[in-house]
Amino acid sequence: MMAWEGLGSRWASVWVLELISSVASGRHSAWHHTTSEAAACHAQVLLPGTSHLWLWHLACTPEVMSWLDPMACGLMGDVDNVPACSSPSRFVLQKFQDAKIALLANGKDFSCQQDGSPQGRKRRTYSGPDLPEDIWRHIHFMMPLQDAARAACVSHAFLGSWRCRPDITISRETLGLNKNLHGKDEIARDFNSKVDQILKKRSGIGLKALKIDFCGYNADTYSYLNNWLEIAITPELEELTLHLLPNKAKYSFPCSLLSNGRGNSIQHLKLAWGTFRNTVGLDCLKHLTSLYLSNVSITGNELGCLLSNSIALELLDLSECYKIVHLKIPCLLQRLSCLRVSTCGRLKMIENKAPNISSFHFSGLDGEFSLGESSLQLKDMMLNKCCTISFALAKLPFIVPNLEALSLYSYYEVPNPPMVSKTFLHLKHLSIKLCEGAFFPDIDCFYAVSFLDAAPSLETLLLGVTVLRMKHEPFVGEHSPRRQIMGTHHSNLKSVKIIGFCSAKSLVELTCYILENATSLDCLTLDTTWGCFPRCSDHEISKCHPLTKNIIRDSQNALLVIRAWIEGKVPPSVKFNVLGLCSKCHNT
Amino acid sequence: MASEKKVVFLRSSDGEAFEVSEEVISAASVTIKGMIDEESPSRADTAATTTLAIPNVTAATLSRVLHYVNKHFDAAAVVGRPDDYIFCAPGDEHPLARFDDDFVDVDNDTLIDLVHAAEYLHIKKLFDLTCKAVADKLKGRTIDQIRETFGIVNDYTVEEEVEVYRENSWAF
Repeated sequence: MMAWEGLGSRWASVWVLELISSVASGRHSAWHHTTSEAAACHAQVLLPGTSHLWLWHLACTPEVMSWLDPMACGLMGDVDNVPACSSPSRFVLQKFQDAKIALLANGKDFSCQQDGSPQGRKRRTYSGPDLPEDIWRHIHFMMPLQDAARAACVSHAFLGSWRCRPDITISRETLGLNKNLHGKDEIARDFNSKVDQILKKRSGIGLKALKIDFCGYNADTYSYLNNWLEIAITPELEELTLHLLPNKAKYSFPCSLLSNGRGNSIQHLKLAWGTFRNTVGLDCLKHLTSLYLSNVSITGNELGCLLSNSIALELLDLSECYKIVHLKIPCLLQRLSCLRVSTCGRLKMIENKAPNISSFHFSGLDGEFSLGESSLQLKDMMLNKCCTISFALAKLPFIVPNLEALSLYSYYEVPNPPMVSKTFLHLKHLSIKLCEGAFFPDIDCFYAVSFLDAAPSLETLLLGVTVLRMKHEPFVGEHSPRRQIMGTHHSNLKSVKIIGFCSAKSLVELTCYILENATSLDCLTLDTTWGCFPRCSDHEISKCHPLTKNIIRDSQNALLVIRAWIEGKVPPSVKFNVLGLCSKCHNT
Repeated sequence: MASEKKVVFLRSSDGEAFEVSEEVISAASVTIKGMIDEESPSRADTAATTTLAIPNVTAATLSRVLHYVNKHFDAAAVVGRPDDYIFCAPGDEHPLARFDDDFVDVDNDTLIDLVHAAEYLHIKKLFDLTCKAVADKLKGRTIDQIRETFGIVNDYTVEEEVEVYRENSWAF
């Protein structure tokens, strides 16, 4: 203890810092006890006169805490008995206790990596390969959030680049939230305080993209969020993503923060689970190019106000916005090229007047749409509604004659889809998926031929028929008579893939039909699995996803049918892929 | 002769010359493309092959850089996606991913030299790859280890250091 008194205060402090850093990094094995005692003495020396920050810092390490706490209490007694005026002692002690509580609550592990030998006690001078500051900055930006924050402690330059990190993604993972925390309240408290620490020191400098994926909600959550947005929304911010929680108390997005030019730089806005109100007079989203609203409470009129001021908009994606009944897209949106609307439960009508939409995705059981001038521009369409296949065959060639890619999801169909009266002259890619749910019992896959006839330019065909396994008439070797006489050459069809291939008669007949009539076929793929379960060969898992006996049996039957009735018909020029279940994991 | 591929020679700082296809290196390096474009008018008169001095890059580093460039920018050597891409495992999406991983699996000094070279030669893909590799090396390290590994001087005063620790205590 005498030795310490002889040291200059600065060097003593440096030594303590080294000690802490060593303890924190796990380099404390053999010399732990002696240094602990020494540091305890040192702490006594420091306590009365030196910066209390030291002790706060000391308190941050679990090892130091374990021996320092009794010492501190022994010295000063219970914190409540220390008079308020005896600063810094009271402050210090309070900090100790706060830090310790926080540590115990978090179960923090301060060690990052151990590197063995104890370090010297003097501040080292470093020399080595030198990189210019802007390159270090580039590297620092590439580090994950938590590592980047730690690296801010390396030097002033790192701190500088940390504070102007342009891209901040906040989530349970990036914050490294403790998995031992339980209860929404506890998680929310931890989350809120960490995000506060990250954003408060920044003052929004250089922040271009902020993404917050909330976890945990408590009563303070939304006032914290308001503060963060106040910091983040500056004329520099380009991308804002808020993934809130499906909570009864919905967050109302503070539209006023976007006013007075502050929102003018925002190009991408994503909001999930919240309320978007007071959009009237919101005239500052002039550079907004993409808008995603999911589970957001916004009416058609409110959205209309927002859209009428977002003249740069290129992509609009709405999902599960249940308040929208009538969606009007104004003709002002000259640049809007991509419109996606899915499962907005009460939506009755989409009325589009934007002239340049080339991609339209719509999913919803009811709901009509009128595409206006964009009808002739439309190149890519995805439809997921009632009787999609019938609708597509009967109406689409008239509505969107220039379509190049079409994806159809079907839940329910009427028997005998209508024949095509007009062709899709430009359709090159077609994907049809039969979804589980209500469908007529004996769906006939041969309808796909109607599409082949209606689309002379078709190059790729993808069929998802997993649902067929539930009920189908198996192929036993005899073709239906009507199918043998049909036969138009489909000279552009190059690639066909069928997912969920089974021994259903109509499917086998369809495949044979394609092999006979697609004269330029390059590749045929029959996937007898469900196509969606992880396989041991594709992923870094030791075993394939377990499957029911029925699925395994169906897949094996499908392979037998392929071998018996299809394989022999595949011309040598066609690359023939058959995907079965992994024999290692599904050996019955 | 026109069908033959043009080559240029690059001379490293320690005097070693490396041959590389003009087309490939022009696609890869903005800096060298600029040099070649500058040379072009005078080259038209002579049949001699151009030798460009790369004063900031040593032979050891330059040979590595050219290995990377030939893998990534030579259209003939680039392995395309296999036809049956449907059955590719997710890890196989980029045929050069493994090459890249091995390429930057080097000691720190070599890596830093590559960062410098990629920056000087203005090869963006290589610059991002090597910077990411440095960032990966910094991951999970203690502050002292980062300083030591990359020779970064601690320029904080003790008080500042405590303050910055406190500011970022959430990350420890």
